[in-house]
Amino acid sequence: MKNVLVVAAIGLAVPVFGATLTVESGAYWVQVPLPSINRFFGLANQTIRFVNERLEGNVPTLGTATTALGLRVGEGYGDTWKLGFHLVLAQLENGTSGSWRQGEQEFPVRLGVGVGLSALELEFALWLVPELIQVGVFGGVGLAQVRYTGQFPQNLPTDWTLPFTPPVGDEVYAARSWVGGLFARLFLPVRLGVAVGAEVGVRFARLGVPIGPSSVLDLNRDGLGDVLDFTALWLGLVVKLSFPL
Amino acid sequence: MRKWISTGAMIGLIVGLGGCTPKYQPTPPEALFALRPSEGVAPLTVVCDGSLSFAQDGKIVEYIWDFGDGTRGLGPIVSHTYRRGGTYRVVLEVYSDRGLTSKRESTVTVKFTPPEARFTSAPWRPGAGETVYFDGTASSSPNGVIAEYRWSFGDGQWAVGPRVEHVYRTGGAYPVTLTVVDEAGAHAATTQILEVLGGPGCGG
Repeated sequence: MKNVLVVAAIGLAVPVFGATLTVESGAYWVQVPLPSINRFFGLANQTIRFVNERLEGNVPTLGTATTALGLRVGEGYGDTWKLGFHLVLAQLENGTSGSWRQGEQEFPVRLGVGVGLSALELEFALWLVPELIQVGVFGGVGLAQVRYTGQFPQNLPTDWTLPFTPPVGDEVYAARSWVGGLFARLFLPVRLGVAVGAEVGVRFARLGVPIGPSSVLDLNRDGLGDVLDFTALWLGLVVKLSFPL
Repeated sequence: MRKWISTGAMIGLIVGLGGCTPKYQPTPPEALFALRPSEGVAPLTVVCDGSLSFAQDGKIVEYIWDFGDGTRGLGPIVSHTYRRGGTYRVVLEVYSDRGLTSKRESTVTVKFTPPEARFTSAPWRPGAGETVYFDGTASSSPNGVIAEYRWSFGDGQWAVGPRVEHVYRTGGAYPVTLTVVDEAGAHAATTQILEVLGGPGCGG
């Protein structure tokens, strides 16, 4: 039932025009649809509800994973232009556990999905209005990991048969792809060298179908593979510290 | 001047990348169903419950079932009777009100009901050397017609066919076995002891 996505970005800037060192940090609301993962959650929940209605015991359903909280920390050099790079980390966890009983027999259920993203990105930023409005683009390489843990009775302890049951086993899948995006930041100077602001950005991170040691990610069991898409809208609050050099 | 050029270039780049923003694509519905039972002996009536299907975008407006035996059904919950043995592929295809579709399949295994082997013979107590007539046409099968009749006369001889005849050369008690195989491949056998009068060498 936990939907936690923590995104951390650490930027290390490269001096280009060498005038001002800025250190930024921000908290973000991130919308990550993850359609293929959420389709799996939907299928698993329907199965869980179906069995919950017919057996003793209870297995809580899984929540959807569509929104997240993020964190970003960065620094850079420059006045009009800024050049730097970011290390982006993201993590999403969702799971449930419980058990069903039929007579003396118990059927434990444990499902867990962890999705992680890390990306190394180069960033270009520009002050449209000095110290007030900044826009920029970034791009780099992203690596995603999906950890799946599944314990689920494959033969349901009812007289019904379902064509879908969550896969059984522990597996780690990985995918790598180019990622990138753009952002706009609006700052409000608070005191000399200190500003707070808001940011809106889009990160394009369609990572494809993660591959495991023995198979591709196919939690839906439809034979097509589950595409992992981290493309998301970021809305955040940013704090910036500036140090003239 | 240089600043305005760079500013314009950046705005152009952002606007250009903004055009790459992923367009909204509705998610197709998800076909999911339950069967009860998924295996049994013919005739087998299976309840197919497709109400587990769901659509994250819109709602499901059509349920189409393919029972795998050449018949189809409509509706979220249907039942279907399989009258013959075999393994059938059940497919549910759902359509959302946005025109999107998905399907999922499962299997139903219908076991063969064994046929019943029966036969009569005449005369009742034949003598050695006398022709005995065997009739297996009373055999029956719920899976269809009897496709094969195999006879074992108990003296090492055999024959095939619904009606056969045989001559025992010596007296004695012979176990006569009729094995029938229906068109579905299910088989059954029955054995009767036939007493043939006359001792060894008494055959005519």
